[in-house]
Amino acid sequence: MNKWLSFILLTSLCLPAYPQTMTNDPIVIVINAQNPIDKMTRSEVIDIFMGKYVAFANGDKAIAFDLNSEQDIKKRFYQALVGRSLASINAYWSRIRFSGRMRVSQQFSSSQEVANEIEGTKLAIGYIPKSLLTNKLKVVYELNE
Amino acid sequence: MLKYYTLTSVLLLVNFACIANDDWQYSGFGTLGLTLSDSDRYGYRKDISVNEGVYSGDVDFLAHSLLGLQVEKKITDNIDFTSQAVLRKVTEPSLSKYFTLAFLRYSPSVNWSFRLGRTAPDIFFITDYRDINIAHTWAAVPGEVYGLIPYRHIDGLDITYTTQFLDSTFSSKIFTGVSDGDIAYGDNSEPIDLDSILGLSLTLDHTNWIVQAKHTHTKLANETLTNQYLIDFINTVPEFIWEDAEQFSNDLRLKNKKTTYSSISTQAYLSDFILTAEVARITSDSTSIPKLKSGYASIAYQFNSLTFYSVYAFTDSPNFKFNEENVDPSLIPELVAAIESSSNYFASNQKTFSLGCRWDLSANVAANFQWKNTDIDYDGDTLWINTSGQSPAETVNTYMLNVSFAL
Repeated sequence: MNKWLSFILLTSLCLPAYPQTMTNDPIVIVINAQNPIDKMTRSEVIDIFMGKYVAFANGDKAIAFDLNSEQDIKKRFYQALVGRSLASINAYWSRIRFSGRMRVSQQFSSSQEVANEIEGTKLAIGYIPKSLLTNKLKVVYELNE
Repeated sequence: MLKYYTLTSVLLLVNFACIANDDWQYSGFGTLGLTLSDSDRYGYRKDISVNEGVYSGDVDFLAHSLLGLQVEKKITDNIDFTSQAVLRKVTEPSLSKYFTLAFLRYSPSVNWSFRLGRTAPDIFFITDYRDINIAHTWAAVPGEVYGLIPYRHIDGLDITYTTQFLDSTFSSKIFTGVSDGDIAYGDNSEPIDLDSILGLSLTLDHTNWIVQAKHTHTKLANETLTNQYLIDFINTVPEFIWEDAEQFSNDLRLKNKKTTYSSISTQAYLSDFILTAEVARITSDSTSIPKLKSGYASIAYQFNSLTFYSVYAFTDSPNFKFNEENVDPSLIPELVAAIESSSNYFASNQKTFSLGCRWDLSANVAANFQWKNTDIDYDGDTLWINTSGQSPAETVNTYMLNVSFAL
């Protein structure tokens, strides 16, 4: 009986704990570890992800990677970065894309894919949960939500 | 000729690229729009290229509905191609009118960008995405500024320089080329071509606000038939009746006359509020196009997925009154009436107050309702279809319900 009770208690604690951990996982802006840039300002991050000036401080063109759906981390990222909803962000990018001003960022279906792609692309930049950090990635900015 | 050459060249280059690699990106946008109006005299239209209006009792689904498809191709790290076709109601349809973008872009560095081919006109703040309904707060962009521009593309070249400036991004763009469109007079429409377009667009873009200044000058490349008939008629008046008739008719000519478009605009995101304002000005060396000032101010409040907004917009232009000294108007009353009617065609004078609500149904789909209350001044109905022969002052209510998407 005690065994079953322990199992139920552990299960009930663990199930809600998993998404809670994911939601509280801080979002970090990462680049390839070989990129000489060490830190970025919030303004520089905004410039890149809003397509205003897509370059690092040393003048190198940045390659921004984003997520392609309404994922929670994407919502949290843009809300924390510029205080705008995903609908507002998509409206913003619609004007840029469909007016022909610039191409949209390359998009992936998961944060893990974003992390993997940045590991293999020297000038790439993206946002991922801190839990996905590896030694091939470098944190240049951490969002305070 | 240049425009066709440019377009053909671009498309041929793209075909070559297509054979080399079939890695294309596809995207699209669209709007299904319902428009209602309450006037029997003044028919609502989106801009002056449209020759059919929405009147009282009409249930219109064409004025704002459209479907766009865009294809993009990265050819090399520095060169890409974009093409866009928009299916919408156009006056005098032709394949060319459905293609709004077809250009090659060369971006040798983050600072410089060169585009060759067909691009969207960057004449006023949102001229280049005015048909992308999901991209702006309103159900319809203010017609007082954008309804006066019948052009949807420029065939030519533009160069953009972007740099960081005082924690902001500054970009300057110069563009040149040719364009064409239609101008509808009542039920009829006439093609109008623009030559020697030369424009400058300056943008200062900070995190939550943007300021733009734009100036474009161009020459009209053709004479509209309506204007030509009037000029020919004036030139038949004997010199002993109207001494300066020829000079007067030359001033009316559109062909080879310089026309300028200028605008200053701003948009700011302040917490849950979006403020947008623009003032614009159109001038011409032709007396057929009077000086026109226009503008709008908009405030929007975002509450979760809803955005409530209000817009005030206006046009202001002097009405032409025939007061030539060397002619007695009573001798040529029909001609004087025709001159005044023609010269006042572009003299738009109206004020619109709008209320609306946008509902973001998802990140990519939005519904938008807008009520426009427009006070049209006497003889100020440029933006409307009016076949009654008279242009009295009137207040018109227009209701728009759109569902827009971008994928």
